[in-house]
Amino acid sequence: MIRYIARRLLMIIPVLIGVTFIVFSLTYISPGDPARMILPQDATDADIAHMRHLMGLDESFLMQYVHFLFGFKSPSEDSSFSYKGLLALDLGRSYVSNRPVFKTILERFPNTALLSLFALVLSVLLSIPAGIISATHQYSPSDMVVSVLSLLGLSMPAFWLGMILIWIFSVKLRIFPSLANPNNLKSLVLPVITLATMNTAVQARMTRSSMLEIIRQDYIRTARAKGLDEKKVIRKHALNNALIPVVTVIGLQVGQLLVGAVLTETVFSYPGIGTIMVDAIQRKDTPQILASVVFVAIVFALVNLVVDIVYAFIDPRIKAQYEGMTKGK
Amino acid sequence: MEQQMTSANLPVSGISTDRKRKSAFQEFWRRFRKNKLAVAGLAVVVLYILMAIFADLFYSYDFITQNQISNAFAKPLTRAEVDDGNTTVQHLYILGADNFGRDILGRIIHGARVSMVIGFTTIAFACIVGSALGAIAGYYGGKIESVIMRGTDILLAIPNILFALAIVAALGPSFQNLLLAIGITSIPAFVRLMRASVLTVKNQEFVEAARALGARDFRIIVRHIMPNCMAPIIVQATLGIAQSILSATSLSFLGLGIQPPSPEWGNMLSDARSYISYAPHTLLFPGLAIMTVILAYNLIGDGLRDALDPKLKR
Amino acid sequence: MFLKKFGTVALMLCASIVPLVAQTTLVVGQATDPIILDPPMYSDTPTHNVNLLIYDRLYDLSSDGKVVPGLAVDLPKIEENGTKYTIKIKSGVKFHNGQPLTIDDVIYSFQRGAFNDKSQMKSIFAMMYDVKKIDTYTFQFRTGFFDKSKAPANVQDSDLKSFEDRAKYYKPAAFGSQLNQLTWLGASIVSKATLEKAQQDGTLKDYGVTWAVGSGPFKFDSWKQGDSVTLVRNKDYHDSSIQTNVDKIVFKTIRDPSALKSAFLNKEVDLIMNVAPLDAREIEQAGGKILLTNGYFGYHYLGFNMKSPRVGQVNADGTPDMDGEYDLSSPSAKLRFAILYSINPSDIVNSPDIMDKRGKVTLQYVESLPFGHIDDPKGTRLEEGNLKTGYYNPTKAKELFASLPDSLKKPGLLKCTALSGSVFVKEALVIKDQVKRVLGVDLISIEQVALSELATRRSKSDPDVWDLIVNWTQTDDSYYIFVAFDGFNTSLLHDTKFYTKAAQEWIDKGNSLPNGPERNIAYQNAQKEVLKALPRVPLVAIMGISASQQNISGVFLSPSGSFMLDNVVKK
Repeated sequence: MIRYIARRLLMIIPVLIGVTFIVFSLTYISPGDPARMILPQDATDADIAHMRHLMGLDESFLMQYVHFLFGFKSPSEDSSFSYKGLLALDLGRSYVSNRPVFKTILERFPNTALLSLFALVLSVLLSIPAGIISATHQYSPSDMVVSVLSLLGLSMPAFWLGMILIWIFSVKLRIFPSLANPNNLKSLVLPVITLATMNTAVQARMTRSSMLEIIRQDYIRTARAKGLDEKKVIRKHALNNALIPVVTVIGLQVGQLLVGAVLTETVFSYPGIGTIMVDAIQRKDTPQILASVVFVAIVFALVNLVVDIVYAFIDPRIKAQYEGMTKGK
Repeated sequence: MEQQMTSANLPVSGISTDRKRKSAFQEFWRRFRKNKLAVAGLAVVVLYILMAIFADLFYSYDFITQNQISNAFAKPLTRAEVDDGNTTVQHLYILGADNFGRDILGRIIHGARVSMVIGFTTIAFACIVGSALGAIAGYYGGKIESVIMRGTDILLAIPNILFALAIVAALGPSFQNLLLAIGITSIPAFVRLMRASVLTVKNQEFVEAARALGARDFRIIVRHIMPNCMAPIIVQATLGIAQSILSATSLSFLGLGIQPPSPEWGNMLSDARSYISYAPHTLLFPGLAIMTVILAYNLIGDGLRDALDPKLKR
Repeated sequence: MFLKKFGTVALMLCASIVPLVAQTTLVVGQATDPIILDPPMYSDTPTHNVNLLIYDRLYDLSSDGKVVPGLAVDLPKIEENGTKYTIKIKSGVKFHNGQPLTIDDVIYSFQRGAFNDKSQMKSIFAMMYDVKKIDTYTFQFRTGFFDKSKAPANVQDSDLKSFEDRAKYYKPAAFGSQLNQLTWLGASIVSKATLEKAQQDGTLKDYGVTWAVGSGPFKFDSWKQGDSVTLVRNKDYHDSSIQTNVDKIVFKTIRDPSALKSAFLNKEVDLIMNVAPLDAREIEQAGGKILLTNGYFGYHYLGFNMKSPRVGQVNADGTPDMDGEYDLSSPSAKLRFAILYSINPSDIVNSPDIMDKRGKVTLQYVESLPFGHIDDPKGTRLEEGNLKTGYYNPTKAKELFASLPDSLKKPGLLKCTALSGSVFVKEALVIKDQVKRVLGVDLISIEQVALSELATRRSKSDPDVWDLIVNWTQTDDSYYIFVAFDGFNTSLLHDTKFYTKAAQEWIDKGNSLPNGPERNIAYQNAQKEVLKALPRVPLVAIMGISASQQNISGVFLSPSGSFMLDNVVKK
């Protein structure tokens, strides 16, 4: 098991290097000169060339990538142009706010994590019971309701749902604020619903279909044939097995939550990592874009790693399979 | 594994004749038809496609991009004068007008064109590129496979909208870049699916037979292996279109997609956001349009999955 | 009975404690965080609002645009044809950390604003040289230009890194706007001793981010990035005449305009600025107070890239023609005029989404200003237009357009740049639509760009990148010269790269004259010249819209649209 975890950990290193390289290349080719952002509009070409030199922008692509990973020492006396590199979680300062980019991210990430956590809990609490009821009462009205709602949930753009919720609950009924803030639990209600909807739908569908599959399997039939109470059969035999794929889906959903957060946070002006990213992109704040995309990719990769490991723990078959195999999935 | 083997033989077998192909299709259609929701989904998609093709018959592009400032935010079912350049005519705003006084229904209909184009081209691109890479990886194995699969892992390591966001941010917001961004981010799913399918098919008898007969690798992949892996790809493509439309509207909503005054649903919503309290109809209808079309694709996707292979049902 | 008495005592106790505990907190909602609380390093409105309270300047602008002394004792003594200034500052002023404020701090602040690598406000000090301390509270400086003939060939103006160095190579010249520019935030006074100490202990890089020291009526308290900046009252403020009962001001960042409005309607914030006109309607209906700037404080324009072969003027080999004369009968000039006559700015004014009638059509580049506003339209382009529909004249537009070669009639010929997500995109869309309708060809394609990219485009004016730009400029006096006409730095109307000799002469004259009627006439004549060749189409004049709750009084808007909160009272 430890070997498996170590192997899995080693595997994410090349992936992360690839990610950083792609993201760095993307920002490198993007138009717009960061030196001009810092300088006033009437700056001369000489001023700009000087500033580019101070910022290390006059060096080759590869050198800049090396700086990005391992740090950059600016020739300027002003130490704010220098940074220690991605490996030290220091990509310098935002061109806009002039603060260390990772500081901002680490300050705001807990907000996103909080929102995602609430959404995750809500979606699990709703989706698993709904999926089970739906499967055990196949073709009943409640199954229909769950199926239809989950299909709708799957098809609704999260940002639109958020705005509709704002319209109904903030503008019309004035029950919840339209502006979300981590210090005000009431204000989190709408964004959590918005963020949880898609996940709830996916998980409910997953629970339903894996339950259905297992209910039809032989050992469940045997259990039923033995005359066991139906509820017991579901609880004892079916559920445990059905939950394995559900756990995987939930794991994958954690990653999706981070993505959904970008849109949800924008709609509710929530101070999380999503709004950092959108702001940074709109303002061409390159260090901030780099840092936030790479940061989310790292979190995403780590979450997937944890899910894989948990998965291996839950399902002995997978574990055996992984340990026997030499190549990836 | 077992499931996929049976599925491989379902739609068309590698050595099938036309007649067999036909009957396989009929068999598929018979099953698909049984799923009423899927058929409804198909009907909706067909309706949207027709709308997209014949958009100009309902409203001219000029009309729906032309400002009528005096009618800004007209409520649904308002009748008002519009200026078509030379004369003023009476016009019924069925779903109301937006911030520039443009007809919302007309913009939704023309927006269908944009969304359909995005959905089909990005997925066609991703499907071709992804399947080819997946097939190569699965068929040849070895170094090529690890390179392709590590590349896929890297693409998958950045959440898709985020990656599309980064691409558009770098290249600048435009229609082509949007297609490129969504196309690229849709590739990995196809690579993985294709590779998995190829792995299950590649050692089967008919492939061995073709190889024994001296067929070239390319021919074997294209003629014998790919057709047998189509079922999951078709399902993925259908769901992929839904995902692609959703991504495009999301990017446009963030201001990084299609640029105004092109009618695009995400764009319309992005504008509407500022008028939630003032003109909710500008928010409501484009969102409904997105929702119905994505719902329809999801229904078709479900239906296809059931029809192509009942056991594939997830 | 006893209980009742006890209750009363308790109540009285509470009542006496409450005023000690309860603080009056004013909450100002802004769309973005300030950028940096270090005045010369950045200036946008949210940053302005905060910095105005933390820092003092030698002079301030009153709400009606007059220059009044701040830290200075009086208006400067100006001698030698307006090239030599002597200024005396108040004694006994202290920074928030207790350091005394002396003339050394003033000179240090100016030196920093003028020569620091990151300073955005170098233009304020661009003509200043020979800055000299006279005594602890008095200093002197001169204004002038870099004189090439005095300097060795290898020395450029940009190589000079101090006022003393400049003194060697500068020759005196008057600069009428110098005093106005000292009211700008970039000319705020920072503490020399404090910053020099910070330089040594390594905390300087966080200056303006995690700490800031000024001498203003409020002190920096804390900044939660993306959330709020908190200031507390400076009890030792030198000007005891200010009247405010506010102990604490929180600048709350609320990114989304509709959320900002909801927060205001729910009374979570006391003041908001840059209110969208549609929201202003709703706020008024809900009983909020709408505050407007005193007069029109800016104008929106459509700029032509004069280096573009399509709408500007280029030589046969494609290089920009900058000889100072424009051929107004060339096809590219005719296309400019065809576009001018196609545009009806009343659509922009009337659109509920853009101005909702809170603005007006303008025919000139300056609307309500002490200088440069053309009073007598006779013999100028102004005669061709009216204040209802601008220069709109479809017949004339079509006529001009018909006479153009086919190469200038292609759809998408003109690339128009506007700041992404801004109101200028909407205005560009209105213009695109109007041009398409009148001329029958969809000439304009719009590109939205981020602020940094916009800055690059404005400064380079690359004709391959853009032909048109929709933007705005403030038109307070000092801005007028710098931003609208960019008086001496590069060329006139710098983003359009427009240059005519005739206008330049008038501007140079205006720049060198002290405030007065003659200066006004010089700028008026300059504007008349510019309007002839038309590097910009004036569109609309705007007012800044802000909103306040009914219980707030004493708030003024500066001519540049910032809140002036020195005397704010919250009931």
